[in-house]
Amino acid sequence: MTGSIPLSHILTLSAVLFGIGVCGFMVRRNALIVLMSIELMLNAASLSFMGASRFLLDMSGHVYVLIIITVAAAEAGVGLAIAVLLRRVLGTVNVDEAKELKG
Amino acid sequence: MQIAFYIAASLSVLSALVVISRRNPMHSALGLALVLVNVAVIFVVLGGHFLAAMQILIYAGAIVVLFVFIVMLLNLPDSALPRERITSTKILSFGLILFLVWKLIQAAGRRVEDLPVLNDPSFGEVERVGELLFTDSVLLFELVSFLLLGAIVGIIALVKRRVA
Repeated sequence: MTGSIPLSHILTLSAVLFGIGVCGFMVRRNALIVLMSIELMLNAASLSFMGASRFLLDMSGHVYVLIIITVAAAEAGVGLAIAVLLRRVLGTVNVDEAKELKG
Repeated sequence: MQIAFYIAASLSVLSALVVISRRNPMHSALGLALVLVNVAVIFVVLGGHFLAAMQILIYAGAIVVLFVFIVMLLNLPDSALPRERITSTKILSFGLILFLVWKLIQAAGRRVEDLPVLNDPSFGEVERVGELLFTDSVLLFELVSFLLLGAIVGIIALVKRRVA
């Protein structure tokens, strides 16, 4: 049914999504968008896992994708809590202005 | 199926570009939801029906809603959004990222074999994932529960503290 998709296309899509995520992480200064870029990178990783899992007809990759989703949920929770604190303490969500990491 | 993969792939790349290029974080959050839905479509094409459902339910249903909620809670006016400047460091890092992606695509291009035909009807079903999760990867499963506990404690400790 999906016999005509080469593995290289899935891995290329994963690489492009990861690159866009790294780009957003490096270039943007808005803490919320930095967190969204991290989600993009995690998604690219799970796409690679799914592609490899389908290619090898071995379902271990699916377990890791499930773990990645859980880790992403925990990361988003903590990251957004930090964004709320940034807004409360500094009045902005600019990550460049968060220089003193004292909580 | 093949056409669905390529449509979802191009849409996910376009919406990922929307995520990192919009000034308004709400537009970015909606772009992120679109990326996640498209990745779920690709999961279905790759035979992971259970994980596609989880992707929609947890990622697009919970995490993105949390992002939207926080964007609305913070209520950032346009003046409070950070000014995005183009510095030489950013241009340098952009070049390095382009190099990284180019190398990754080159490495990916070596595996030109097509995906094998899927004969197993139970591939990607919830029973198989659960079986693996509670046998081979049970240590991982337990560690993740510690991670979630740590995240809960950390979030409460962070946000509960009163700020003068």
